[in-house]
Amino acid sequence: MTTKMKRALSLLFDRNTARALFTREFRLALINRYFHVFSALALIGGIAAALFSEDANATGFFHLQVALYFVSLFALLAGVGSAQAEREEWQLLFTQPLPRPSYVIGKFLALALIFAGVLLLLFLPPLFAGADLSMMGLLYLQTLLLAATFLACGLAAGYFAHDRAQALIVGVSAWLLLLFGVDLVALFAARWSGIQKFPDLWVTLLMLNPLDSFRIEALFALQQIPAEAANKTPLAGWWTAHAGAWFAGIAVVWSAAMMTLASLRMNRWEE
Amino acid sequence: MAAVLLWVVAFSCRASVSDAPDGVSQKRPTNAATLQERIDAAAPNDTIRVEPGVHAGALLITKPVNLIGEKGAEIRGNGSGNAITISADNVTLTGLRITGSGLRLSDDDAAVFITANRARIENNVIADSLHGIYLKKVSGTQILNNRIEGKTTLSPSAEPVEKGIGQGSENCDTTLVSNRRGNGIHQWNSERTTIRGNEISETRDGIYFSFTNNCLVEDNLIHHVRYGLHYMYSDNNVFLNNTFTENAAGAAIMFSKELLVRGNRFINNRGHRAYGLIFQSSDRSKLEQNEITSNAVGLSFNQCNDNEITGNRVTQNYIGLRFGSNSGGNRFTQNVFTRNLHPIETGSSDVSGNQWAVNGVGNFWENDLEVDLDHDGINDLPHRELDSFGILRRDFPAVAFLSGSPALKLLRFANERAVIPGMSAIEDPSPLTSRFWKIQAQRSHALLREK
Repeated sequence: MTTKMKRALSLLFDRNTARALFTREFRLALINRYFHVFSALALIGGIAAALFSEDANATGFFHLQVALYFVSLFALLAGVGSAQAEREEWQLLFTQPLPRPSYVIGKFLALALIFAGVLLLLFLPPLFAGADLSMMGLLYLQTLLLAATFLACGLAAGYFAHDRAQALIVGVSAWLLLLFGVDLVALFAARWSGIQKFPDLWVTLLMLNPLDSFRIEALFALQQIPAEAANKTPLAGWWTAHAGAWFAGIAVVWSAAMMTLASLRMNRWEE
Repeated sequence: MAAVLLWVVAFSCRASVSDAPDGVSQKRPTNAATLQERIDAAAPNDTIRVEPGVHAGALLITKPVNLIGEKGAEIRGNGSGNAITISADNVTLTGLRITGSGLRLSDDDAAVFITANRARIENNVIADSLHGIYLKKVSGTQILNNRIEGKTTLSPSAEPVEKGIGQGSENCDTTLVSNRRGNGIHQWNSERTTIRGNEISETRDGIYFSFTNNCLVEDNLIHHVRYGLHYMYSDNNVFLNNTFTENAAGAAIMFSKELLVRGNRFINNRGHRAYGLIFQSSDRSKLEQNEITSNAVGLSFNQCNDNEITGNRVTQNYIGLRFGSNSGGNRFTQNVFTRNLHPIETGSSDVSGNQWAVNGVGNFWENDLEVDLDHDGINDLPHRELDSFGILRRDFPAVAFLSGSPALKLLRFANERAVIPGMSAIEDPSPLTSRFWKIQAQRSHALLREK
């Protein structure tokens, strides 16, 4: 972690700085169409799950799908949009006596907090229809971690790109790669006898992908996959036994890495 | 006359407490004969009321009598052989708690061992025994509304009957491992049995059929056993409205023909290799309107021919339908496949010899793009269900980590539009839309009104 990032983090503990950053982000979110649409869809999804799900497990499975396809994408778009929204103001902002990474970190934390609130619209309605509190609570936290990861990815893409279009192309391409690309490559690679000799290597590829980690954790938690079906190697066995902890870890690592990249980019922009 | 006198004497006696052979206090009529003596003294077709308290077994019933237990009546075997052996036709056991059979699998020890016809075993509780009810070469037995609880532990002080086999691996572990337990109801070479309304748990297999034909199994609940139904070499049997849940496998039906399996529930049989319903080498049978939900593998077919699979709900399983090799002539119609992580597994088997629609009516597959221009509830486009993993499940088990992946859904979607070469799939020429049943109901209603 760079010295500037450390200083930025310490500044966030300063009440005035944090308040200024968070207030700014909340106000921007209030007028952000992404958040309007996302909030509306989250509420509709939550009510639909409450009304139409056959049982508690169906609710969990529905939320898993929503998190995988929509929450991750909206988080990424929110990150991209937020980074690019104030591109014109960077010169002015950077005259403030704050290290650049503090903008990135503050923005990330504020957006994550906003997502935490918006996701409640998705997760609260099923609870009124009798969904299991512990299951939904765990899924909520995991979905929030997933959202934070893709917020960080979106911010990184937003800060790296020269304009909004480029940022969207880069961000969505990365999302498609993580959502479909990695697994398609893995599926076809699994047919190759050379890979079959090293199953742990293959498993590692999936473990490093936050979307795969999230999916595996949620599916095992919902008992959709019998654990013994997959854990034929030591690493696979360890993953199935610690899927929740692993996902939390990989989400934090991805978020931190993306934030670092974005912060480095901000510093370079200064030069 | 003497028997009647004995019966009167037995019933007029006051109950008193005496020591049982194993030290447990027993309650039986004072100055009266033992239950075995009363049975021996009874006339054919007499009714013997069994008073509350523990009555020492083992009993041997060699004449047609009715044993009716009053509340709290228990017949306890001596821990060796059978608690009750029925070797006469037309015997009835009702309202008893029956315990304490031996534990020798090689001797087929059972709480109730029946070698005669037309026995009626009703409203009993059977526990602490190897097999619950064992039918050997009998006909017309009725087993109704009993509760059978398997023996899960051995007494720590008891000498293991089969040392080192029946117990867990630890010396101090008294758990009786499931494959060393007995079956709830065990039938061999029998016929015309009626098994209705029983609850069976913690046994090895719930109901075991071997060379047993023309039986009716109805409204039973079987849970926490190895196989709910373990069934071999038995034909023309009917299974209606039973529930098999929380077992290692719901039901395994093998080497049999001409069965009717209707309205049963195979639910939540989880764990590796846990099946809802296995059909192995079984032909010309009907599977109708069963619910097969939340199992590791819902329905498994292997070497089965000419079966009719109609109107079943196969939902929320890890694998919905596993289709093994050498199966042909099976007809699937009006089945619902939803929320299975893998609707179909064919491996590398050739499944083209089976029909996925009968008389133009196929099955309901989740996420199907519904194109129904003539509004008959049947999709105008065929449905291709992809087995994304194929033989990789066997060759590379870690591939299971891709279950539920968006990439697999993408492939499934693509395969709907154009066949992906090299991937195994089944094709339903007339898949149903979600409105099919509503349309059918409307048509039936209209027909009724016309009539």
